[in-house]
Amino acid sequence: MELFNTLIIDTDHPENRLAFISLVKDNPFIVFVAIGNSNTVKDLVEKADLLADDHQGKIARRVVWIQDSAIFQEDCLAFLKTYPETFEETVYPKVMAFTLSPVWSETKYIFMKDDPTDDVDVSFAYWKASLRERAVDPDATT
Amino acid sequence: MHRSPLFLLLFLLSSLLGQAQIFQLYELEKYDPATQSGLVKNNSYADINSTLVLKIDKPALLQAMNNYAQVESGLSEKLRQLRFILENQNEILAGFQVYSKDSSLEPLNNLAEEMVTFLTKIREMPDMRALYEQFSTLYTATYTRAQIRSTNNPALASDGVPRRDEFVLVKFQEYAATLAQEIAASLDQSQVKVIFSGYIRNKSGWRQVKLSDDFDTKVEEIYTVPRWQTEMTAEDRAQLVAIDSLATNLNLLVDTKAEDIKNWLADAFSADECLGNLQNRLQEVPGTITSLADAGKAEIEAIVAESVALVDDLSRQYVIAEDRSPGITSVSLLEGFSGQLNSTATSIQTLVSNIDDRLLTRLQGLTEAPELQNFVSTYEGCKADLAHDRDVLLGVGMRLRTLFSSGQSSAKFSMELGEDIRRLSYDAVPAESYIDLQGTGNRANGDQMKVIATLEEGSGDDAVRVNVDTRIFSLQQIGMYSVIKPMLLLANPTRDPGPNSNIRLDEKKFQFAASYSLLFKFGSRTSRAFNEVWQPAIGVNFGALDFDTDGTPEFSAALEFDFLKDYFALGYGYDFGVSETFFMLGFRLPIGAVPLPLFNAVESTN
Repeated sequence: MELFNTLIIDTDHPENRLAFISLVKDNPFIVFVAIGNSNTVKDLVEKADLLADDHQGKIARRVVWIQDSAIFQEDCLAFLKTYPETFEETVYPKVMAFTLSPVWSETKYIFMKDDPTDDVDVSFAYWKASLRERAVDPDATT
Repeated sequence: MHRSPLFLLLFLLSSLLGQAQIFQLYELEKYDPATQSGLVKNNSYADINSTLVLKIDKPALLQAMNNYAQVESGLSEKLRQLRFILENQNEILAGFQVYSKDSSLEPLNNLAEEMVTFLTKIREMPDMRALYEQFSTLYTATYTRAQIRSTNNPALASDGVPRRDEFVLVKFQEYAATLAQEIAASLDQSQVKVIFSGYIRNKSGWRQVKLSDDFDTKVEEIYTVPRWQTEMTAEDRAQLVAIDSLATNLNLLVDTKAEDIKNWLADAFSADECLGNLQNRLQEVPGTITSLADAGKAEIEAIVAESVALVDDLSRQYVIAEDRSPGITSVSLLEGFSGQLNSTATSIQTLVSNIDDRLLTRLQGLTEAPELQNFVSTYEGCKADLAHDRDVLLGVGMRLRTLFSSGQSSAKFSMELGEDIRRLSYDAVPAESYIDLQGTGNRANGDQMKVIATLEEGSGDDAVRVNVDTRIFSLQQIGMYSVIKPMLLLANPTRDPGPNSNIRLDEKKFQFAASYSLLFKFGSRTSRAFNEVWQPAIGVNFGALDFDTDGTPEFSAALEFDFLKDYFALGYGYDFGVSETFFMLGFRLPIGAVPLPLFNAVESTN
């Protein structure tokens, strides 16, 4: 399947990191970050890329595929620690994917390995990360 | 439906091996619900004149019907799914805003928000997840990636391509309609009849008796129960009731939302204002062409004339649509109106193609004239509005129509289930009924009565009946009652014949005489030996003796004690003619007793 909405990261070169962080921080996107190179993750990336088209003209969606879990681990952990429930660093190897809300880039949904990855779960993950989850004026300076 | 003999045998065996009793009989006068007194058991006695209370154990009856009828598997699951979908349809459509002055003109924008709660619930239900996955996969397979991406931009021609959430919701609605039809088909099976019948046996054999005065023309009490009711648990029936309510509500909701579409349509037509201007500019075009030969000019004039006619026709269609849209008050009207929208969209496309592909192509290189510039800029502005109308009306209108018509379809089929629910004739089987024995015709002490509960399926030659409960008991006048019986009297005077007596019989001679006895008996409620073997009685015997052998009978009366069903009697009496006492033996004649309506006579109203 052709990936229209996905940034693929296969090395830890600085320019890749720049592209990743810029995609997340400098744009009002919902970002679906997938980690790993297993068949399950590949299927998940394809699904996330396809469902990224379902934004209906509202908040756009993008996918970042980090093919090696060791790449940009610190950045990913920093994002994961924004998850509303407690996130333990030790479970990072089991993380398959997570979604980030736009503007504040907070983690709103995490896929662990062995979690279901049906269309309903991916759609739900995107919706959890939509701006309506946060009752704060996005134009506020503080 | 044909049942195998093996099935019937197994069912009968299960009936014999301690199946719950379907009904109980009580004598009304003795019946106390608290203590269950007055129970008429098998092989017991019931008062021959009593009214019996027939108490039906409906749970036991339902169990018997469940055992009898074939159980369809999966019904509970379908009911649960249908109820879930209808509940969520109601919630989604209730929150779905078709029109708001402050929102964009595309009324489907907020549908995804309304479906978030639905998604949250689906994730917890494996079967619903599987359905969502199936429908979502179907969406991906049905439309190209380009078509899917185009749904995010209303400015792009969408050709009625729905968004994923609209598609999935429509599919769930279609699935609900299918479920409702499947459930209705499984409910619409043959009926089971519950029949209560009564018989009395006397010397002539069994005869059927009328159990109740409520049904003058029937000898059997028949209650017809749709078979599906026997298969349903209380939870299933509660689901059906909920489904009926949800379907009715959904139907009203769909029509209400369809009415909102007219408000949206009123604001959606944006090209109608520019059509008049466009027509005027078109008519100016031929006059500006001075550089062409007559043949070229004629060709352009012809194209302009066609275009003017198309604009004129389109203007009329807009007027019609604007006139009709306020009347869109229901999904069915929207269905009809969508044809109008399709026709308008086609006309727009025809006009745009005519001008783009023919007129502007022909005028290429000639369009520097101010009048022509005027026409081109007017046309470009109007073209944007026309394209908007074509895409939004065609795309969004079609999608709205699909969304609401599938919603109405699921509501319609679900409401048809409600008709089955409202015909809950199982509830018509009463908890109790009454059998007035006085209405069962001629009967006598010792007659047996049989009350049977039967299940019947099918009709005519294919009908299959199975008795599920029987009560056999005897009828008896309980307590004291009186009869008259002819007796053969053997009287022996207590005093020997002699010169001081009027007795002229040889010594120690019994005299035979005719007599009849007025007897008082007592019917036992419990003892068969007392009622049917010994049957003691006490009474008075009236005879016609002739102790003085003058050929003239003398009137006698004796106190008599009978036993062994009056075949033997002993007594002590007085011959009034000769003023002598006597001992008596009596023998009943082989003629039936005549009841004497003094005490507790057998009464009959039939």
